[in-house]
Amino acid sequence: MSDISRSINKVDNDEKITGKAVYIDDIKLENMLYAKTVRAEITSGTIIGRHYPEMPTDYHIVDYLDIPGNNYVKIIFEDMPVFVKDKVGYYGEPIALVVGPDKQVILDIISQIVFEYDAIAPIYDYVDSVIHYDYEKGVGEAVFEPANRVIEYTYETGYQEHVYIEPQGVIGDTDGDKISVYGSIQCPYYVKNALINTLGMDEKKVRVVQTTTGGAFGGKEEFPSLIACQVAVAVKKIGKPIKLIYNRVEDMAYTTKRHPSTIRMEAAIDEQNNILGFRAHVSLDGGANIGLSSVVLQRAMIAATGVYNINNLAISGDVYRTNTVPTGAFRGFGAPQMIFAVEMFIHHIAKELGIDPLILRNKYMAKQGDSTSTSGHFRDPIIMKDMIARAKELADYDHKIKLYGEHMPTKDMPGIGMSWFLHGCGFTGSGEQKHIKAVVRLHKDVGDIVTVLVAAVDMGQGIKTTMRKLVAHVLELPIEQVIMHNPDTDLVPDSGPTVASRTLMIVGALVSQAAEKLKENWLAGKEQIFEEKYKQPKYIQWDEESFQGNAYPGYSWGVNIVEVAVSPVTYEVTLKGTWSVYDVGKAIDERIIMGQADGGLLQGISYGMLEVMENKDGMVQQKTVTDYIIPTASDTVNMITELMDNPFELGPFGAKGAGELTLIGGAPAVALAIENAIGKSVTKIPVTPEYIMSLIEGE
Amino acid sequence: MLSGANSAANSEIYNKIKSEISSKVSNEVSNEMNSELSSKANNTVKNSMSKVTFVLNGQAVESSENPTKRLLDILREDHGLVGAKEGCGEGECGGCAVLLDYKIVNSCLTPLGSVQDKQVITIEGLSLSTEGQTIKKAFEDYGSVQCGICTPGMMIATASLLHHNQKPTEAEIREGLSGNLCRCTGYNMIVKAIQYLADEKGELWC
Repeated sequence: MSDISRSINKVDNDEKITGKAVYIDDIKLENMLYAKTVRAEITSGTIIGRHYPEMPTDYHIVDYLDIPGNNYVKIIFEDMPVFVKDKVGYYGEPIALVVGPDKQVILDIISQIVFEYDAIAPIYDYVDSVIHYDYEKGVGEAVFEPANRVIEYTYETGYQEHVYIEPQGVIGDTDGDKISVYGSIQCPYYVKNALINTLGMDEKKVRVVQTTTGGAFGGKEEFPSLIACQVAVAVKKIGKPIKLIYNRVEDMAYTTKRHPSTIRMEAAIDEQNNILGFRAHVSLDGGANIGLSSVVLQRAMIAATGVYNINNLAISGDVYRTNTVPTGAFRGFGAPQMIFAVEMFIHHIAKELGIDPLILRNKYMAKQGDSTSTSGHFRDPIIMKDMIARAKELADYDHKIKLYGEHMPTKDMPGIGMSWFLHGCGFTGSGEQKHIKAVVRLHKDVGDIVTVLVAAVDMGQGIKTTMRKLVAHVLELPIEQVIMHNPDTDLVPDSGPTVASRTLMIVGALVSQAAEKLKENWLAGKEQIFEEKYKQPKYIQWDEESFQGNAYPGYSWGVNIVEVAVSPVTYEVTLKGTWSVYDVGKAIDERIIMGQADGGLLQGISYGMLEVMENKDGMVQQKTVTDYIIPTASDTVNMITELMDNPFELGPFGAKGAGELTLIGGAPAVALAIENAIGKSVTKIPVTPEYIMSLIEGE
Repeated sequence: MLSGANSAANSEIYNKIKSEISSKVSNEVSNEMNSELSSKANNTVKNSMSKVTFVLNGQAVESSENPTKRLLDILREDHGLVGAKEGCGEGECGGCAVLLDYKIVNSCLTPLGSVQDKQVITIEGLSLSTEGQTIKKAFEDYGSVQCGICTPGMMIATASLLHHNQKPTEAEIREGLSGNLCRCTGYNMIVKAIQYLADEKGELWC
């Protein structure tokens, strides 16, 4: 049997390259109407009057009065209304839809709608905590009593907008009895469960189908449930198919983004310059609705030690409600903020102590068998030593760090930075067992064609290719004999959401097990169905209250080295090179993982140096791709990546998660490179020219 | 960057591609397009003065729509050519790119009236040509495609770049793609595919 990592032609290449792939905005149904959102024009307060104009024939207002079930979007925290009833939490919060056949007429109607408000003073500061967690490891807080010295730094991270090139969109349809929603989504069953809750309908009367999804990165995890509910309510009221597609401005101003954070880190140091323990506090800006921010906070807090083994910890965190657009899921899910803080902090500790950062980092680098931040154990081999050595060799790091560290006044200030990071794969703690309960199915028809029935969506990460490849490999069949369609909740079981780097490792493992069973019981020419359900490995013991135990079934690891040049005149940062080594267990398709590596790293680097999104008086200031800058091909360099195999016992063919990992190290690596170039401590991302100027000239 | 164009050679290549495309298109979409067009024409006798005629994927077409209407909407709504995507609506993302006289333009910023007597090639047309097939194979081999929403625009950008510069340097390739945003790939594998095309398939473009 050939090595499974050997790349094959992706199964959706043809339709995507030739323009035949059908995205949500490419669908036009007969008698279809269009919808546009009517939004609040205050940041905080109450609606005390609604004045809708008289509606022309075939045009409709749809608002909270039309909701048959519950007026909240079923996520984790039930605080996001489908349509505002009275209380407005942020500027642009959706109040109603205007629906009709002509888009221009809809805009004319919206311009005539008037709301009266009773506005109250908005909150933008971190004062209204709605979620609080804390946990300890070892002696916890008490380790600070005997400390010889305490080193404290505070780190700040900004918003990050997903900028999937395909904006959010859904289409609702009905046959009079059942409601179907088609959309650009990551989690068909999240949407379905939200629809059941809001429509108050039986689960058999609601169906969700994923259309080819033009990028997501977490942005289509929970947000689509909101617009799917709105459109479904409209379809139920009007009885015709309705399309809602966001334009770029709406998408950037009013959909979820990565949580801005403030992270205070403290280290207790003894007389021999040993790190006795960390104290940390994470503040996340949740925006007006909490949504799934609690889970983002958990992941950030658990990442508090990064790749290092620190024996004593006292970690706390809060999600604060503010009168701003809700924040939500984004590739990395709390880890990018915390890994940035930890990687900078370990360097800043070394600087304060006068120790070579590399020596300090190596001393605390976690090894197999060491305890995790939550007092669980790193059960599996950790090959970071080899990975770091290889990355350094590829980048010529040891030579450059000495050379660049001199801060010679040259035309451009060169700098190099190296981040080490890990990512816990799958849901935190017992999430898979308690909340997700994944089910997968394989169906073989009489022609011996095997269909993979899972709710996982391909949003560019190639899961349609890798799932088919997995099954074909187990069954020793040509890949053409294995089929996987975009999920339709009428046809696939709930294998869980396409999030948390869980799809290959968790869902893929179940699919692989089902394939093994099918292989053992193969009856040529007969219809056969095999189903598998998730069973939590025995070693996962997790206490949600105290954050104690094994938070994740397995970890993927990475090393990023980034080289930059900083202009001494404009302080602009130019990317000069990137070198990365990853341990994702075993690549199911090497080229697909390389693609994840390139794209993830660039998102991480630009999060660290380029992507500025600000909120002023409750309003997002960068609402177009002209104002919110993401890298172009000209801003990017040839990125060098290598993979090191380290097969994971429970992953299919040894595979672990890869999607999020590749983003996490980018920001600290580029921030460290800039720090190296300018010789000043960087404590905030994005590291813009303005910030560099304040560091250099601000003294 | 695209100054190396030789107009005589360009029109020759263009004609070659045009004939390739038109012979294939006629079998696939043109019937549908023609019937749509003729029914449209019958319904809109409103102002024959403002009719815009152009060549779309090798077929002569005419439109009675308002000449200020976006070419993107004409393609998607009137011709069912939905391969060009609207990502930003302001000419920044390149998702809606098409070839206008074999040069890349953003169809969201192109008024219908400005394509009068010109040749428009969309991804649907390009992918039927030998050039398009060659670029497609390179995109497949180098892993250039992830979510796919930018891919038609990247195909158009590649064709436009190589048509005007058969041997682009890496910097020129990056410049040539800089009007097309991709959020998935980091551009690495797209750049590599084009480097391969420039190194190995140069004869197609010269």
